[in-house]
Amino acid sequence: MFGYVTVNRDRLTAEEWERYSAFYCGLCRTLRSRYGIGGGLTLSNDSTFLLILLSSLYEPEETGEKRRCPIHPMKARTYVQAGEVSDYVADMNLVLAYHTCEDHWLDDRKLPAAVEMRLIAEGYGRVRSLRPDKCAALKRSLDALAGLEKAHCEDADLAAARMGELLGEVFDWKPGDPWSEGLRAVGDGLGRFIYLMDACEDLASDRRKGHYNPLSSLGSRAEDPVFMRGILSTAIARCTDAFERLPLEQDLGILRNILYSGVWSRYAQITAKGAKVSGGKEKQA
Amino acid sequence: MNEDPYRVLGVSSTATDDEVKSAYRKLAKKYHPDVNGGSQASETMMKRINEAYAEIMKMRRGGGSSRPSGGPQHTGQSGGSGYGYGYGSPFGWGGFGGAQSGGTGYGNGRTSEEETVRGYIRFGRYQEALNMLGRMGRHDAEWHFLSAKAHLGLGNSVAAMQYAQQAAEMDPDNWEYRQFLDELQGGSREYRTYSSGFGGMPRAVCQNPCLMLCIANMICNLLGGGCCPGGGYYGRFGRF
Repeated sequence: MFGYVTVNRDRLTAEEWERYSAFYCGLCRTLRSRYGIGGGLTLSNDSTFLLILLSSLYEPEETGEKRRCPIHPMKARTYVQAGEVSDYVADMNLVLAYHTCEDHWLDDRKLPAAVEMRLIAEGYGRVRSLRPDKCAALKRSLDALAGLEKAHCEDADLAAARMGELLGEVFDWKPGDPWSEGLRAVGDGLGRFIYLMDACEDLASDRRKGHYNPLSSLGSRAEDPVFMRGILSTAIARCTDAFERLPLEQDLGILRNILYSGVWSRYAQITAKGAKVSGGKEKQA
Repeated sequence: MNEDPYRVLGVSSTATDDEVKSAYRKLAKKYHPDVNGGSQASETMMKRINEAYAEIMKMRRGGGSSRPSGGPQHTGQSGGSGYGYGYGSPFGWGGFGGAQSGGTGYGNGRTSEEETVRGYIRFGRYQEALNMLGRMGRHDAEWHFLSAKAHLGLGNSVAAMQYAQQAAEMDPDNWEYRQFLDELQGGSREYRTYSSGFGGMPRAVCQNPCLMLCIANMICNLLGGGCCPGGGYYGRFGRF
């Protein structure tokens, strides 16, 4: 996940921000206790969203307190951990981080990726033995996605669907339970959104450098901000339609803040940059 | 299900979505097998409650024949996009088979094929709609419009937007095509309503509760990147 799935802090109440941070820090604790410092480094806003979502749906018992974390020794922080849910989200976070590092090392020889990979390799092995079916399913989706990219697939929807599948798999904590299908649908929409957002963000520079981008085949439509905004909006709307079908009460404000607002944080950056480059005014659709 | 789902959850049929969800949660807390020692009775009850909830959501949010896309809004704040995710009609299909090509058996100028495709879409059978569209020879505005709807149902945002724009361009006076395109540009009616409540585009700033991690990520990216989140997980286009 590219770090798109985050909050719009300006529109969170102080309480909601505290709560969000508590989940974030709690996830860090879980990652570090399960996978050491390397695990902690893989912490993301995206996984924090999943943690809050699953906690809202399943309402697990929460533990937490105010403690000083090794990175912030001056001020004690509140953190929240949600038992099995935190464990699962941490494991999924680690698997995805591992595969990303692997790709960056194998494809681009990025040294930090190799270092990180080394740090979490043992952890990854443990998740694989703990959740073999899930890891196998994730690997299949990742491989399918890699295949489409290698083939320079021009059908952006097809590629986005693979990412949707991947995230759907991640979100489906308990396959076959009453919320399995709904959670998959939330993950599916979010995955498609993330994929398309990333392609959007890279389109201008990919075109300049002659690199592959699944949206290149759109031609002049890709220059139309209303059109691009529409693509992204329909993708995230698919996610939120499934989201609103879930019987959620807890932390609903935070979750909606993320899905209806926070996810557009980087897009705000992209369009601002685009306006500067083209010298024109970007129409806010 | 055979019984009235509203009665199972103990709410009126005019209850808001939030009220339905709240009722569900209250019952789930009471009857969940985990709090009832895994009893068979509580498992059965839980199943009834889950089915009732699913049924109500299906009826309210699209997929069933009681909510054709673009139809009247249900009470409660759901707004509803009408684009069901794989929720098919609970009723039988009949009466839409065997399309004649080019026939105009319907007074509104649509061919029977087009009516069939509309029917498929209304009942969430998007792939069948696309298959039929693929066999049609005339690619007029209506064809593009229906293609857009079918693709939207399958989650193909790029195709949906392309076809929707083309339909509106080919027939600029068509109110239905215009309205549909307008909806898509905001994602869906419901998405637009909720997102406007958050006041437009967020500021593009770092939203990380952990400043140290932010700094660590920045250093990592300066060193060539490629591992930490925020910098990007799926840099599959090699950009991070």
